[in-house]
Amino acid sequence: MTKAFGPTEVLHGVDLAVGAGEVVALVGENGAGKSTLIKILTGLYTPDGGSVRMDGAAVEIGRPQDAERLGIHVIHQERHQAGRLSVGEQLYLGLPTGSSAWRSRRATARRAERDIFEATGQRVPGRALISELTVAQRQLVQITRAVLARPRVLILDEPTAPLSAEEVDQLFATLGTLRAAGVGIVYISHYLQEVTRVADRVEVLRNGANAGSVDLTSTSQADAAARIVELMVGGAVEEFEEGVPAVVPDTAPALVADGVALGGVLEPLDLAVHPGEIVGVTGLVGSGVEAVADLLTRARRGPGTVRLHGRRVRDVSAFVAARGAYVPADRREDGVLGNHSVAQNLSAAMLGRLGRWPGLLSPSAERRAAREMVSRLDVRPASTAALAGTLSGGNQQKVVLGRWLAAGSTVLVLDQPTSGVDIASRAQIYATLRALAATGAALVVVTVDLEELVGLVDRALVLHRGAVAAELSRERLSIDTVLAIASGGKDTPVDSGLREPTESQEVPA
Amino acid sequence: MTATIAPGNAPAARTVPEPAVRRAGILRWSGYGVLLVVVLGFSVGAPAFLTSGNVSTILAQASVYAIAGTGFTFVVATGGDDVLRGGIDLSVGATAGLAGTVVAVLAAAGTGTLAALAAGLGAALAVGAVNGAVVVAGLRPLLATLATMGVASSLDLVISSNVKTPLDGALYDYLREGSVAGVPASVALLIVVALVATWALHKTSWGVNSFATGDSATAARVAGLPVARYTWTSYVLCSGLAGVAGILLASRLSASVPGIGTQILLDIILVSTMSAVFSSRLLVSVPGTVLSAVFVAALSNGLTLLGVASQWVGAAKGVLILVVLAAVALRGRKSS
Repeated sequence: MTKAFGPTEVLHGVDLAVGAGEVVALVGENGAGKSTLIKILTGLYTPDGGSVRMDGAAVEIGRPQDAERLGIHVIHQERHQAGRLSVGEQLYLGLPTGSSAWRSRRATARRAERDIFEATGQRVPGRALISELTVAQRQLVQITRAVLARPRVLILDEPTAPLSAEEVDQLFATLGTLRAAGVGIVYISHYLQEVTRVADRVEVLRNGANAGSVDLTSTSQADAAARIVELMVGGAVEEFEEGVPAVVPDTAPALVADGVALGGVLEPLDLAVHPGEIVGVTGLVGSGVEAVADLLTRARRGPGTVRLHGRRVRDVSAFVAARGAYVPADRREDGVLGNHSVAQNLSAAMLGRLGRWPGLLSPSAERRAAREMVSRLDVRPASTAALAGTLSGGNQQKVVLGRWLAAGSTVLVLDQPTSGVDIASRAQIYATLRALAATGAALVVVTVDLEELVGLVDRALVLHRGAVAAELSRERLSIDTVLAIASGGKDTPVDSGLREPTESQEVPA
Repeated sequence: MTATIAPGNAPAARTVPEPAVRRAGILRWSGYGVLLVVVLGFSVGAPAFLTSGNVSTILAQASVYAIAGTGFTFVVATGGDDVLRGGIDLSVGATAGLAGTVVAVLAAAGTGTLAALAAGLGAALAVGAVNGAVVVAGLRPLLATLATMGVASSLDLVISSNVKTPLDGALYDYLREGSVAGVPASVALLIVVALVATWALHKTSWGVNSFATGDSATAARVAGLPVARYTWTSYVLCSGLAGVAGILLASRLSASVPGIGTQILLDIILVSTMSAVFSSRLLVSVPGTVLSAVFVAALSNGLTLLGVASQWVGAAKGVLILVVLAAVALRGRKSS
């Protein structure tokens, strides 16, 4: 099978070939054109040139139905699902096996539970609505649906982002079964150790063109990973600047949390963050770390108090009013205004200061402020008129960050600031955060990414089972130490739901 | 980027949460609860309310709105319940009026019953086909159907020369006064329509696919569903049922009344969108539409029986409907 595309705006003659029973990984920084390629293959976008061939014969994919008919199935990163359908209904949506009149809801639900268990080894309630599921459960439904469709080509776009290590193992086992059955698999991921584990061959895209490919059957994992990174960034990896040494300032703390807690999830937590400081909060999934950012910003209310510059804030709008900023984990849902331009997104938090008169907006002032911010953060494409929803994940995150920068926020709480963000954008985001701290902002970074934690923060709180198990200064911060504490004992340094670090990856410090 | 503590909320994947369907508990039945309270209140206050004769009257009054509302429900199911971007057909009332007028004018001119019915339904279906086509082409349903509503109601006035046209004939008289096994003919017609529509929308994969399209068009498209076809079909069905309702209305009134479409439009939208009250997922449904239509008809009827001055009926009706909707809004907040 060969698929080739002529130049589109973002793709410049990309070639991709997948053989039956082959796993090809597609990697590249955000904005390299991976998603665009996939959307063309599935009929969501129409290519401006090029062709798709299956078994040597040219095929036309004008609509998603064509792709389904040809046996090309996709697990989309965005998990396009209808929230108010039940698990069973969504699972069989559009599948020939799902169409039987006089279906009983209960029977459908039971069948769905069984199918999901067979495909993924996990149990998901078949009668629940999609909107009631966790992100991981929704992903399991999507994976099962793709398996049930008996695909000839299966495309997975960042399938493991919401999954635990155990679920990832199960997914890889499922992929192994499909591969043995002769399914061609395209696997897209930012996690290089996953890619090297699962794929036979890695195709690297850069700036909408093929950068090269790495054959994994003949290369050792470590060598392959190093080569992939090289291809991705186009030559030698840029040296990340060293972190500024921690100086705990003796000024008054900008953010003080006192006894912030969430019943059954997080025990009372105290935290004081000084201007100029970046404090990390980390922990295993289920340790309560997921709730910390919401609680600190009072997006979720609970016991305890939060003070900004000495003033108590009771909800998230008070938090923002006190020059606080919240960069939530789910930027697609909570972060950017997808249907608004980059300029409008950037100015959303500072509208009051953009006009000559209160309440009146000066479009030229808005544009000027936005242009300045776009170049400062290196948002790509460098257009203030582009709709924020069309940007890649990393660039959306830059826009969210830029909004708070523009607003002059002095306390920032960031939840998983770089999940799903490529290496280059990460480096820029880290640099921006450090620059912010240097100008006297107080930052809290909640993250489960240990390299990020170790490379970025001045000190870190490590949670274990809902309580702070340790507070580590910059000198004592290391991935091993944090892992050991987070998993509940200095003597057990690895595993229990943790992903192993790959040696090849540069630490973005 | 790689030493990562598995992101997401993985542990929850292994626990089986109670679906909100059950969690919602007592609130799930709030729609029915309010309905029951109102019926009980009327029957205590006005002994005539629950007599079989009066119930027949209520059901017959409800039948027109229920049938047209059922068609509207197809559009809301397939287009989504966002009023601005989702499925809506403002021409539904005008289409009903147009169908009634066409039938009455042709009948008055001596055309045979079958030919007159075919012409009336054909006119309605034509409006639906246009609605579906322009919506599929990407026009906003709210504005596009506002435009076709103007065209349909104008045609109504042109064809009827803006005067009432009496409607006589065996079939029309039967629809007005006849009965099947003691059930008024209009109610029997409603029962047939409701049963078929319930089956189609709630028991077939076509129905599930329609709801999927309305919930997330992208999800449906990604699942390989022909979204445009589902959308177009829903508008044609809506106009078709509006035509049936319009002919039934003209039969019940023994005449086509020019401009009546505008009067019934809002009640049709009301009974359809209110049907979400009776759904645990807050989705529109055919049985819910029928219940809502009966509820609205019972309100007018009961308030009149209670001796509420006719000027006050609209206000009382509005307040009670707000109560029902508030109960649902409360439930939506609890279960989300």
